[in-house]
Amino acid sequence: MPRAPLAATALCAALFLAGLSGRAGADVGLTVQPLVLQFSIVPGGEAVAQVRVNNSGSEPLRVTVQQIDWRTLVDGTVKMERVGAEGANSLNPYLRISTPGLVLGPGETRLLAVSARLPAGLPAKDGTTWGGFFIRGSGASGPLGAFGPAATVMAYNTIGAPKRHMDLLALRVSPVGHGSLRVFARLRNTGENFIRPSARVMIEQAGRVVTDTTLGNSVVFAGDLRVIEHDFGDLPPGRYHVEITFDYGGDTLVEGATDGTVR
Amino acid sequence: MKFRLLFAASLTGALLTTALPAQAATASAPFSVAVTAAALASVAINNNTITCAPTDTVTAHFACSTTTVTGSLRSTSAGTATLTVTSPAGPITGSGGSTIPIASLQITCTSSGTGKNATPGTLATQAALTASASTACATWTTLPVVTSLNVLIAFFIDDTQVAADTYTTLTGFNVVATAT
Repeated sequence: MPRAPLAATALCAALFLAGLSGRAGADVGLTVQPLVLQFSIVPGGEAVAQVRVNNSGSEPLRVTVQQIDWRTLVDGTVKMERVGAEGANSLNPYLRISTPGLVLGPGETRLLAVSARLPAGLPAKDGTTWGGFFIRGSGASGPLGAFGPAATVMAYNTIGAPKRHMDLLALRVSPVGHGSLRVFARLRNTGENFIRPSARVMIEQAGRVVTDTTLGNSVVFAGDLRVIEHDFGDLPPGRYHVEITFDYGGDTLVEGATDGTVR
Repeated sequence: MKFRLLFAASLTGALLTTALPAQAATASAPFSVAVTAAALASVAINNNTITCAPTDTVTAHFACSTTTVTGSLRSTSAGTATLTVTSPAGPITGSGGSTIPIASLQITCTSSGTGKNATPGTLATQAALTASASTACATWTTLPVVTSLNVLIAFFIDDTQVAADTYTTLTGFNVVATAT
């Protein structure tokens, strides 16, 4: 296809990227609860949990459920993957949901049963496997997969009591202008289980605490690195002492401290 | 359970009143309160048709239409919550055979949700969408993550490479709430 003249592009190009024809302005809403399921079953065992889905919009909603593998990346973002991508870490071969899809009327709620069943022949090794579901809604009168609201349900199964531990590998702060300090931390999960390391950050000036904030994190799987960057603003020029305390859910806390200057 | 406790309290009070008429009747029935608050997401969008109609040929971030995401989010006790836009493989194809890659589209997210920690730690600014993948729109990091959602997602297109054509509606975009 030869490129059209740019002038023509300016006049004619109109792109409809996504949506339901003639449905602009439609109110499409989906509520999913819970977003996280935690199982603790051993080989030969089975457990069932319920996920509540609700059409919170004013239109009939088509809900589709897709099984996913997933993991978190070094910056904490969640990457959804095709089933099988996580190999032996995946709970998906043993995870089922009661329906792959349904249509909900406005305000209607349905409970979906999620079951995890481990075959008796699996080795009962301490550790965590994980999987999940991608649940999305679209207007029931439109095409399947139209632009719509969605949520993930992440499922974990932990066998035994795998050790939790983390190491703080680096901590520094640097000025980023506009009265802000950027806190940078790099940590590694050195345990055998996943962790959600919350970070309490205290910024002090001349012995006075000026900021005391606790930051959350997405899951860090065993062996994985995590880099945390967070900007703290509204700081007058001066020298600051920064203390950060990680609570990773284990027996100890991990602390670090450093200093930085806001110019 | 609650009815049984009330009944026991009433019965005890009646007995005390009978036995000790000169004293005030008092009774106590200890009870406990259990709260279970699971991570949840309620996501609604007010416009599921995003339209781009570029009127020039030189703008890398030409404004398309917007959609507003409302609802609520509660993450796990130590976890973040993220709103992302997932994209199909694309590309957007025209009836004349022209194509526009997904990466030509960008999003900028602004938040005006209310609540103690309603301000996201990060927000996308003209972040390019990625084919068959997610692009972060907003991430809430300050704990606890319990917030109402009011996020405006503004779409943009790099119109410097867009050929004149009539493009077919491409479906498969989603606004996704995630907590781990």
